Amino acid sequence: MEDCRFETSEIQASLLMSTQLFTDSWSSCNTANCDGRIKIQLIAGITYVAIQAVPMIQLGDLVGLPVAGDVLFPGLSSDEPLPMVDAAILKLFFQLKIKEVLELELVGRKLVVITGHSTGGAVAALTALWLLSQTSLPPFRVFCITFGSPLLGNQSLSTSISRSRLAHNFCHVVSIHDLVPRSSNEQFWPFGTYLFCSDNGGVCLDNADSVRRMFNILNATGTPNIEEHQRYGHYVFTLSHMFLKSRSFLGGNIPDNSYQAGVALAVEALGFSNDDTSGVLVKECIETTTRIVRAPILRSAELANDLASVLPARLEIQWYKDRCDASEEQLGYYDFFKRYSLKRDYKVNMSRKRLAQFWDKVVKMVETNELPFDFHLGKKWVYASQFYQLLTEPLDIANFYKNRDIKSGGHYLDQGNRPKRYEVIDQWQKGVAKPDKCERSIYTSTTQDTCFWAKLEEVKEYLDEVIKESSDAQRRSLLLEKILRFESYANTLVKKKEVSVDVLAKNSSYSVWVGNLREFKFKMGYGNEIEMVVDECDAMET
Amino acid sequence: MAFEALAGINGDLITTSWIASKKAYQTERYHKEEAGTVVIFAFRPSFTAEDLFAPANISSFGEIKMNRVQFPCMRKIGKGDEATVNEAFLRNLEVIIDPRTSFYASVEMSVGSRKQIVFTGHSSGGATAILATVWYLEKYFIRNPNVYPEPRCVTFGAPLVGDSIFSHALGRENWSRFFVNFVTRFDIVPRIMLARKASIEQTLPHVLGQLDPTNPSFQESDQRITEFYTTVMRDTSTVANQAFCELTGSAEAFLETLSSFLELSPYRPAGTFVFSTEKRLVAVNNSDAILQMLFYTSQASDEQEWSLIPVRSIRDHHSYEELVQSMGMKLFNHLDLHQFLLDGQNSIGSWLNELGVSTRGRQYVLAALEEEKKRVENQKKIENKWPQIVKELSWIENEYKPKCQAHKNGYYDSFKVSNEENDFKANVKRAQLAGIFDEVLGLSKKGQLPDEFEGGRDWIELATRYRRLIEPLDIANYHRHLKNEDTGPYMKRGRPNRYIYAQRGYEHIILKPQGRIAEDVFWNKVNGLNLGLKQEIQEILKKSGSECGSCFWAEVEELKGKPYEEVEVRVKTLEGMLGGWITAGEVDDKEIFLEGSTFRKWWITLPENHKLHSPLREHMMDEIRAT
Repeated sequence: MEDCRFETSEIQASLLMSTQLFTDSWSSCNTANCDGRIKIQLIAGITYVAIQAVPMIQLGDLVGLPVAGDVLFPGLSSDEPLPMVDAAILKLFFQLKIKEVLELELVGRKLVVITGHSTGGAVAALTALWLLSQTSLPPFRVFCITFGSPLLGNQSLSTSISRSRLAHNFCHVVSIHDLVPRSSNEQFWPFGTYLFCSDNGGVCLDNADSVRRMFNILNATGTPNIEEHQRYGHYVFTLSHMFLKSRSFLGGNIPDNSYQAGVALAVEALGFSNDDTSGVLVKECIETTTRIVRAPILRSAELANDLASVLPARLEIQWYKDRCDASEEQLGYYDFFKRYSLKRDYKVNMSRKRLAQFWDKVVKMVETNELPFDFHLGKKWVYASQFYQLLTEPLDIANFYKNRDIKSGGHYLDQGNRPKRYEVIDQWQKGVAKPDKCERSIYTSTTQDTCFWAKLEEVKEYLDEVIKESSDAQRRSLLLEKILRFESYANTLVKKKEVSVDVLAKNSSYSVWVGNLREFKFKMGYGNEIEMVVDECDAMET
Repeated sequence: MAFEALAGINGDLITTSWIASKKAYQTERYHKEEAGTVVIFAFRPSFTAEDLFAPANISSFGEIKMNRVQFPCMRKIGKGDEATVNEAFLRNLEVIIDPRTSFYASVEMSVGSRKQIVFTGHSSGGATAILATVWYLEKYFIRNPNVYPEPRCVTFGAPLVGDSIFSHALGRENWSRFFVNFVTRFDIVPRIMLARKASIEQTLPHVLGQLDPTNPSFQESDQRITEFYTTVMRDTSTVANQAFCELTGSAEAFLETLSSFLELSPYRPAGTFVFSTEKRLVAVNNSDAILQMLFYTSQASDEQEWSLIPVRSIRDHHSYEELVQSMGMKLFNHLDLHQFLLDGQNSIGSWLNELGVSTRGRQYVLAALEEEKKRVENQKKIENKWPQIVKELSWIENEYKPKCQAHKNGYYDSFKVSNEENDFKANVKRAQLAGIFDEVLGLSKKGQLPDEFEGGRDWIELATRYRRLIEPLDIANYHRHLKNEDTGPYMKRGRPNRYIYAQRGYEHIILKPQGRIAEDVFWNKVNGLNLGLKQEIQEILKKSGSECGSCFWAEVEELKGKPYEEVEVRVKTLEGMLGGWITAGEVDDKEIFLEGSTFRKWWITLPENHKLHSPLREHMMDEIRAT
């Protein structure tokens, strides 16, 4: 419980409840429900899109999201197993032609709130998710607020949303007596922030496990009330006026510890008493979710120090690369490391591992939201990660091919072989504005395409196969095409001086391969004039 | 009553200030009163809507950035953001401080006779007093703090004037202690500025009429007042809650998204606030805690009280007379870090209870105070690292530099080539130092350090030593890896914030007593070189390394590859600046003129005609003779 001094679940709720956003969202929902159609309106600079509740639909069947072809959510990080959503909600999403309507309506908007009551809320969540998980972020901010909405999808959907760092765009307002938001189907999973409310106040929980736990407590204790589902108007009114009056603690003595006192107050805000069993369960539930071990800001400031402490490892590798470049063997650091024969190589391997550990840690911290949400946009980290990747990924590739089981035949760039940290760093780089291209006067200090060597390893095998003539003619011509495409790609890089000198060292794998290719072409009588016409630029983009 | 918590302010002074403030109602702009060695200026409040929100101002809270030239201290040093204040209040001040006014002449006279000045006012007159005090501090006090007496500012029910940078800057310069603001419990005026202009526009003129003490018609039951009160409190609640979440860093991402949909008042309390209860006065210095108190002291505890509060929120604005009169009979307490007794008669808890602060509110007030404690702890943690910083810097200074000089190319060039074991070692040290300074930067950017930290002379001096010594290594590293080719020029794209912040801190300390800002000083110097049309030159020098001495090498690297004709102005500017840099210690002349230095090698290649007229001829004599 280090550094855990404030209970924060109630203040988040108080904040939301005191805003115009909260009341305006509900009134939009109300209009949409009354009119029976989508309501779009502009209030004080914010565009409210309210989706009407459609009663009498059968909920509870999960269906997988299409991941290939016409993808609905291309930007959603999808791990196994497949994210799934409620089939009826997905159907409704298409039936209401939301995509078509919004594509027209949201042009030029700055702030967009997607909202809905009941099933309309679930469709609203799906809509917001669709807006947020396109390949590029929308030009406006999106906030989704639902009232008494049923659960949208399975656990995998929930984790994907959280991993894609989208969960903070969702807020679900749920009455503690309303059954609709809690599904009896165990496969359905919550995501985003939940605002649980009673007549006494509200509490926010943003961790899926805690929300589920709260559902279970409510299932076990509450008296189900079908009318509750229609009482959100009452709740919104009551809660939005709550700020006027101070709430005194009802349960006798308030705990001394300010965190404990905060939790006790939060329990009462939900209409429970701190003295009975269900109150104790609620208390435990709030405690687990609000235990902020340490503030993200401090953690990221300290990470600057950790980075400095692993920096000697990077400098060691840099040093190693420079020594290799200067060596008489005229072999770049990639090939030196792949050969792995000197004591020096062993030392560098330790440095490589140390750095990998550090960056794996950083990537994981970002994924689990332990760092400030805009952490990866900081210039310092963008540069540091890029620097790391440029220098070290070739060693990871060398390491991969050194230890590779030839028979299994997998390549570095095949699914799952490339360390995740590099993919994440690639993502971070995308967020940075690229400077205007300028001409380089000398070769870069590190090859700009960090996967250059991995691509080379692939075509090296292709060339061997073609020379051996072990496969059929059709495959050979296919391979040859790939070989030539790489050749031209590599030529462009060299011409633009976007490779480091180690690539061009006399005995480097690349130079050897170029030699072999030339010899092969000569033997086959190809000459250089039959260059394939390929689109250089995107030929090797991965 | 013990006033020791309020530096240099006693009961008499408060009473005199209040009386003067009342007299100011009848004046055109201000009332002046002399009491012994003290001169009091009391400003007239205004109760018209235009004087609260400047009509031409289109922003949601009538705010505007302060002018840097007029108020050079009112900003964040490192980041450079200026403080934001209410435009209507600022305009009002500008009229008053015009050099042709009697006010200006009176202040000049008081300053001349070294009399202490007290600025005071009721309601928006208090807002004027706050800004007038800041004006006095920037115009007179800062030039010579030993000669000019410290000013004082006493306000009664004043609206908030400035944002968090305003309050931060006062804290950093150790000026907060000059400001004392009295607030009666339900007074609406200190909370008005937390509401959105759009939400109160309709009812504001009517309410202001009711607030005017010279207006005899006061209506007891008035729906418009209830509406106004509710709106102001709703927005105050939103601001207080949001600020608290931000302060404690909770639910960061959710908060950020939600906040982007809200219009939140930028105004924050500055200086000391004194809240009054039946029995006592409670003084608070911490801006975050005051913000929470502004909200939680005016919540109602039950239905019956609630129905009375809107009217009280108006009436309390008129009850400063009672406050001042009963002051002598009340206890005086100071709510601060050292008073952490939560229970009992004389505890923070019971004071807050008397102020009507709920259990929840009490937690937030205490939490805000604890955050202050945490900031102090963070500072200690950094100070513990000073010996390490000094050790690493000394190594570079005393070991690395002399060894490189022995090789006749200086540490910049040695580091750029990085052939020796020592270069590797220097690189490791550079990295470690970068880690420490970036940590400090991260903390200071997010407000996790005390306000005073940024302006601390010792820290600024250490950071300056670090910047002068190590930035050349960062520049060498940048060019060694050809970052200038794939990322862009160092000054535009590569310069780490830790150096920019350090540079601004240094400039702040140097220029503060002169009341000048760095940009002006720089452009004055450039203009003094007479290189051509001012505007053209400014265009050419936008983001060049000539802005700062420790970026000397970056500019050399940029100029090196380019034909002389193309960069003539930049070359001449660099040469023109160099002398000043060497004298100030920004550039080490033992380094740059060494035989193997990149700078010297490049300079030799410049056209003969240029070299003949260059101010650096002296330093390069051997070369000139040889050719």
